Amino acid sequence: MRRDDRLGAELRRLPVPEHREGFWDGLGAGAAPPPRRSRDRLLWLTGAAAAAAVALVAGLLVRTGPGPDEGSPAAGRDQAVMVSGVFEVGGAGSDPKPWGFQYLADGSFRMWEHDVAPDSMDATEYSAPSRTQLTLTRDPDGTDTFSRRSRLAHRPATGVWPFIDLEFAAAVPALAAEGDERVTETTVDGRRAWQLSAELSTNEATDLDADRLEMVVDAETGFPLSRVLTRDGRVVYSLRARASFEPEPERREIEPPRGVDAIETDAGFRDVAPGSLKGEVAYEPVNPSWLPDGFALTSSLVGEVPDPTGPEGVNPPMTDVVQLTYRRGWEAIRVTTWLREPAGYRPPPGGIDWHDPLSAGEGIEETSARLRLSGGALSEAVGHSVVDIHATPRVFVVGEDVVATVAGPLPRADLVRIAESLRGA
Amino acid sequence: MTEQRGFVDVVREHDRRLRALAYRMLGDRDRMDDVLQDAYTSAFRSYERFRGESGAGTWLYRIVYNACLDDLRRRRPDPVRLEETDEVTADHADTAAHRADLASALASLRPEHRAAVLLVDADGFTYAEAARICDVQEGTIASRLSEARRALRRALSTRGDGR
Repeated sequence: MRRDDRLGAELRRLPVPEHREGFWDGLGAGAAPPPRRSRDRLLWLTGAAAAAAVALVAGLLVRTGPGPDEGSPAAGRDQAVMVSGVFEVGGAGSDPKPWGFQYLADGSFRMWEHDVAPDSMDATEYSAPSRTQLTLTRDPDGTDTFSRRSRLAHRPATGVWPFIDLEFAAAVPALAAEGDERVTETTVDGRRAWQLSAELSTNEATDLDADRLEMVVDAETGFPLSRVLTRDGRVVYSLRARASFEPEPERREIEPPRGVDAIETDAGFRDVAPGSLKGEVAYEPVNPSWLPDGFALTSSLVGEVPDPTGPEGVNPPMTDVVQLTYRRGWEAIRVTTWLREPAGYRPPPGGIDWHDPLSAGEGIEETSARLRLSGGALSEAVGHSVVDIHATPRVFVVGEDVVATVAGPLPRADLVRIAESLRGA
Repeated sequence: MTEQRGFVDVVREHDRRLRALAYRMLGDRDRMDDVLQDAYTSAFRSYERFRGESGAGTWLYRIVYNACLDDLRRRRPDPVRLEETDEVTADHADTAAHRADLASALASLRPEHRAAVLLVDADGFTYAEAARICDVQEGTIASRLSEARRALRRALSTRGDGR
C-alpha cells in the first residue's frame, strides 16, 4: 500500500469552511456537541475549559533530553544517535529549507522543521522497537495540528515528506559493488563516500520532471548525504545533509500537543518469533541461511490484514505475509513472503499474474533482469532482480506456493544468493 | 449520558476532516452543512448500535460519505464550484494560486475519486479502511487513487519548491 504524503499534506492545507452560525444548534439537543467556541482548533481539544485547552495546544512539541542510556547498556548503545544534522531541502526557485534529523543505531529516526517554533513545526518520529511513526503537520496559520500515529511493518521509505526520500540511497552502494560506471568513489569531510551521476528517464506522472540525478552516500554507513535532481542543468530538487557521525548526548523527543488526538492507523503486522512462525501461515516459512557480514535479525512479523500490493494495487490482496528484517546500522535487508493463491480468492483463468510488490509504478521505468532460482526452498521460482537508481535493490520471485521478495542495499549477486539460501524456518 | 458524551467526542475529533471531505465532494458550504447535519443526526441515532467493529472514525466517515453521495444523486448535477474562504484571500498570492489550482484539479475529479484521495492521502486511512468507508473493493480504491493522483500531481508539478 502506498500513501502520497506530500499530496496529502497539500490537500490538508486546502481551506475548509467553518460551519455556518447555529450549525450545532440545528442538530437538536440530542445530537449536538456543545456550541463551538471560537475556532476549529477547539474542536481538537477534549478538555472542558476552552481557555485551559488553548493553553495546552501551546504545549511542548519537541523537547531535548538525555538519552535512555541509564540502567541499560544495551538499550543505550542501540538508541544512541548514529548520525545527526540538518537536511537542506530545496527546489526550483526556492531557498533551501532546513530539516533537523537524528538517526539512531536501532533504526529509529526523528526529523523536524529546523528554526521553527516548537509549537508550529512539522515533525516526525519513527520508533524502530515499536514500529510506530508519529507525524505532526501544522496548518500554515498555526491553528490546527494534524497528527497521525501509524504502526508500520518497517521503517518508512521517507519521513512524513516524500521529498525527503532516503531509501533511494540503497541503490548506490549496490551499484558501486557491481562496478557500475555511474558510481565513483569520493571523500566527504574526510569520510569515504560513493557518488552517483545518472541520466534519468521519467514521465510526467512523476513528482519531479528531471533528467539527471546526482547522489552521494556515506560508504561506511550507507547514509545519504545529498540528492540533487536537475533538468536542463537547472536544479529542480536538492537535498544536502550537513551530517555529523559523532554520537550526540542529547536526543529529540517529538510529541503531539496535549489535546491533539492522532489518527491511529495500523498496517496489521504483529511480532512473531522466527521459531514460532510455523503454523502462522499456510506454507512453510523460510529464512535465509546466508547474509552478508554484519546483518542481524531485528524483526520477525506476520501480516494479518490482506493488502493489495504492486503498482497501483494491481495484485490481489496478499495474505499469509511473513516479513523478516535484518539490519546493519542504517542499512536493512527485508525478506518477505506471501501465499501465492490467497485464501478465498478466485483467481482469473490462467492464474494470478503477480506483479513485483515493490515496483516503483506510475510511469517509472526500472531496469530488471529475469532470473530463476537454482537453490533453496524456492528453487525453480521465477521472477526478476532489480538494481536500479529508482528504488531499493531487490529480487522478486513467484514459486509454487509462495511469492517472495528480498530487498536491500546489495548487488544483484548477493540478493540472489540470499534468495537461494532460503530454508524452512 | 455516557453514550452522548462518547458521541460528542467522536464528532469533535473528526469534524474538521469530515467538513473537508464533504466540502470537497459537494463544493458548497451550505450543502456541506446540510449534509453534515443530516449525517451527524443519523449517526447519533444509530450510535447505540455501533459495536466498534470498525473504528468510530471509519464508521462516521462512512455515514458522511454515503450522505454526500446521496446528496449528489438527489440533486441535479452541476459543476463543483470553488468558494473563496477567508484563509485563501488572506494568504500570499502565490500560495493562494497554487491552492486554487489544486482545488480546481480536485473538483474536476469524479466524487468517488475525490473521496479516495482525501481518505487515503489526506486523512491517512489504509486502502482497506477506505474500501470499507466507500463500500468497494480495495482494488477499486487503488485504481481510483491512481487516477486521482495522476491528475493532482499535474496540478502540483509547476510548484517544485521542495515541500
